[in-house]
Amino acid sequence: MSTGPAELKLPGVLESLSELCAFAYQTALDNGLNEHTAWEIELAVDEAATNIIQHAYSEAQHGDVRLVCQRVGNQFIIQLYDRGVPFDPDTVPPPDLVSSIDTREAGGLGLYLMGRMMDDVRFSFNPDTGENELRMSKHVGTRLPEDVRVVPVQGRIDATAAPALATIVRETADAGGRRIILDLSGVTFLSSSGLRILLMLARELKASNGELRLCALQPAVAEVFALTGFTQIFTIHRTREEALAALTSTTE
Amino acid sequence: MDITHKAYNRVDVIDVKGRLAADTKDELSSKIEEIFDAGRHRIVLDLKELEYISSPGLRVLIEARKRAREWKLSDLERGDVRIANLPPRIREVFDLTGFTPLFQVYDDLVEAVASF
Repeated sequence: MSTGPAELKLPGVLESLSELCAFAYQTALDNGLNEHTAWEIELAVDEAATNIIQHAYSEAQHGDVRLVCQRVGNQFIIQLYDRGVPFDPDTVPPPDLVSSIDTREAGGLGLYLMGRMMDDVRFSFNPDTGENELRMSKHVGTRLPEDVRVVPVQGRIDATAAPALATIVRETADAGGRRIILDLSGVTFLSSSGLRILLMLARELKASNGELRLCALQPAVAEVFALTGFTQIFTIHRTREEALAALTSTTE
Repeated sequence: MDITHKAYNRVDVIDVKGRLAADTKDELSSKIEEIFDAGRHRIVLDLKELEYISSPGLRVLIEARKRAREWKLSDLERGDVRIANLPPRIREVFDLTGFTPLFQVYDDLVEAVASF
């Protein structure tokens, strides 16, 4: 099922947002995706376009947002192009998902939701065309097993961050996600306390017939695993797409 | 987005319909601001017909509840923003973003209003 790339170019202003969202939703449906997946696509495009309109562009710098959506086999691919200030996802703080109301900050949720809605999110700048490109893809078509979940992690995994990570993984498992892929592409630092918590979570999941897999390690993090011999203990995939493919093919 | 506001004796109810996103959120935040400015800090958001929410909308909800709670008559009596009716898709976003424990959510409007 493929209808080729669908493209929409609109001024980078908030008034364009609902049209960009509706276009992404409709293109997803046209390509055979169900309503829930189409909504996930829409939310990812919404968050991405909002970022471009509010941060890449400004009063002083206007420009267009170009949205390209297409299905290639089992991938639904979204590309957003702009000519504003390039975006560096590393400057976005990891979202606060656990603080109580009085200390909760709502920063970083947009980028976080893009990661939850899509399997892969990449930002780049093309010096030849002068365009920023955001490419997001999502595995569609072959239904993911009900018990598989992807949890993206950002920032440092150390003694301070470990309890929040444990909470998220346990809540995901309690909600039926026995097999969890931790996407570590946003993790810049892993301490020994971080390693211990990963090991503990892997054991907990295994005890309930589930498993913990890791993917998309940055070089510094991969080195920690190699040095400590933990590479043997965890199943580690190069990309999120490979991890998802592995868990999809091992089911009946 | 379509907003209807009703002021009862103690509680203000805002019925929020449609899409709460970057392009519509100001309408809701200025309505909430208006209620605070009138010296009222007990608000129920009826989300029964809210179809869609994204992160700028979430930010409005969090800021509103924080501001309301700053108003305090006594230790027992303080302002709050509570939610009536959380549709499945909105609940899904709440669950993903850790918002579910942040709000008192009621299954119907009467219950939410009576909770104050």
